[in-house]
Amino acid sequence: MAFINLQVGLTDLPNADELVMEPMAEAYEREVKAQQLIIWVPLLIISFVPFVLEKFVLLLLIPVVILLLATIISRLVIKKSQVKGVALRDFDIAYRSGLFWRKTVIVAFNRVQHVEVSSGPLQRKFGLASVKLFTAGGSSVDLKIDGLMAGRAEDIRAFIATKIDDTAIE
Amino acid sequence: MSRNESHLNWQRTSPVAVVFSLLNSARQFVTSGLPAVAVVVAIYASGTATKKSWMLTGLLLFIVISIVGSLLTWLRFRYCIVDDRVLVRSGVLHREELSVDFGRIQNISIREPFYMRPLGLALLSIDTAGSGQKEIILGGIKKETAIQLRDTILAKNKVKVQLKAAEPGGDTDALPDKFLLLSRSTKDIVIYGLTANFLLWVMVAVGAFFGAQGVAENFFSWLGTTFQFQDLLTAFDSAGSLFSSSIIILIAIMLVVVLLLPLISVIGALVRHYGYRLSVEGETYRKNSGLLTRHDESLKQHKIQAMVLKQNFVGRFFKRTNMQLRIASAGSGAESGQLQTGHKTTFLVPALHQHELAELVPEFFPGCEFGDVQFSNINCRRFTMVKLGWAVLPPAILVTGLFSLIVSWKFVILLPIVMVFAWWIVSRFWKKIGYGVVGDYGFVRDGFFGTEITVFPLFKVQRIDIRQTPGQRCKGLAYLAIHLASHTLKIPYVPAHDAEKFRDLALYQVESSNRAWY
Repeated sequence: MAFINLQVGLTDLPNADELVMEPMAEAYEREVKAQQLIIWVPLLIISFVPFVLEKFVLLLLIPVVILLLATIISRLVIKKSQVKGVALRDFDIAYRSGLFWRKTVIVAFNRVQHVEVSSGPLQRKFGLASVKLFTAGGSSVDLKIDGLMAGRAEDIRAFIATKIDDTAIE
Repeated sequence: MSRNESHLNWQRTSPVAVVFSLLNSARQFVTSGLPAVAVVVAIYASGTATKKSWMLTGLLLFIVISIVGSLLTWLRFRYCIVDDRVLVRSGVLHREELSVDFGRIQNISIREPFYMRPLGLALLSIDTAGSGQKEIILGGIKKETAIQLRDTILAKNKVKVQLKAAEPGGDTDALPDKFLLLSRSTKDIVIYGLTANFLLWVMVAVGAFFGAQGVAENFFSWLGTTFQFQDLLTAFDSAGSLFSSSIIILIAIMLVVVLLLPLISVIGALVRHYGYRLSVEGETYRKNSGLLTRHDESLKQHKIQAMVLKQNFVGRFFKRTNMQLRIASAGSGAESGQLQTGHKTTFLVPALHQHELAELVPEFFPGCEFGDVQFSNINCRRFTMVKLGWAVLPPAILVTGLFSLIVSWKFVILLPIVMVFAWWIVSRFWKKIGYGVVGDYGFVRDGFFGTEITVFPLFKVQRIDIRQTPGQRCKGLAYLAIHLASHTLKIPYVPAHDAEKFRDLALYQVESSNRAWY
């Protein structure tokens, strides 16, 4: 395919904003919830220690505050996991994230240097994996997509890998 | 590897390489440890006789060790050229073998230090991408060999790139001859020296002011003993407080810095860029410069990731612009995740007149109609409001509030004055931020006193992020980050549909183009 000089009118350009973002796997929400439990439950238990030692009623305020914080923060985190979305197109991949500070990253396959699939112990428990994309320049990991089912992550990796090979052979 | 051992023609560099490595490490030692050196000199000057002799012995020992080390390194250093790769063996205690494919070489330059020139020797440095070791230096090989080697490497590199790019109808052989693009007179280089590191001067001045005060005082106390400065200082000390004398010291440092730095900058520019010549051969640009050491650097046109045009207010006075061509930062090659930025990633074209600029921009970026660009501004209200509201107002209120409470209520008047001044500064910043697209090239402008315009081919964009805060979402604004292989451009408070248009345009170019970006 020869390179065509741009003659497309600006309005005819494929608009990335009209993409339909695919939400993350259902298991991802469960993983995030489990993560929050792992963080907050021990904290809550520890927060009872001052009361147990001193037997002073006002010290019960500490676990109350912690509980309040836990509900607010974990709700936000779970909400954040729900708004994440990914869209795979023929030539690029788009990833949207952020509850308040919304961010959309688009990486074209022919700029991807390599792809990596990784999964931590908790992710494995829920059958999840993350895909990392690396391009030249910028920070070390350019795009990290959490909360994909392991099979789907592997599919995406394979899909992008074939795209990279396509452009490399030419 | 061991099978063909006997076929390989391992070569050693000339013994002059020892001089090079010694000078190099001495320079590194001095530049990285300048404050330390100043302190040591100060201690030496103030020390007793026995202390002095100890220090001298230490210095001698250090020098002897460096010489022996350099000699051993030279003895163990071998290189060899096979087919299309460079092999290097080195290391005194820890042996290392390195093999670099010609195709991976990013940048290749020849230098002729003054002590090598009479011997007809030169220094070839090879910059690679992706491999752990970024640079191979062959110090002290015959100049002809160096030139020959460079030409072979460049030729191989080209073949490879052409295979990769598979550009139809590429007319690279239409321009086979070497062709002089630009040469710079001594006057041009002096102007470059004045315009180049303006920010650096300020930073060093500020650094001398705040950071390295202890060092500076040590240095000045040493200066003082030599120049009978001390009497002056003690006079000030007895007259006023310690505070006033240290202010005088600071002012003196500032004066020295302000007067000396342009001079140093000019001398530095002359040493590095004297007799600057830029020529083109096919698609390879070659620049030749240097007073003591001749630097010969080459750059392939397709390696240029972005062009940065800088004009600060000194430059505006002389009506000159400095051009920097940026290549991908080393280490950003295929396999490596880690990045080392700021390593020899720019190629300088100094002190250009307006008409030279107009000729050179399309030379490096074919079809780039630089004159046609119209910069769109970002959202003024939002930008100034956020900057003033978050960055200026709270500290201004705090300081004026404190003063008016403690000293006198009249200080309240200061607040509007400060805010007006801050508004002027912020709106200047705002006016400079701009973006635009002409043909296949993107333009981003910013600056404060001066102007800095970055030009980049849209198809070389690596990645684009669009971010929106809740407030920006409300106002239909966005924060656009354009990641190039060389560096990242950030534009705040862009109208969201413009940001999306910019992104879609760049993505279209990236995805519809088969040209290799590297």
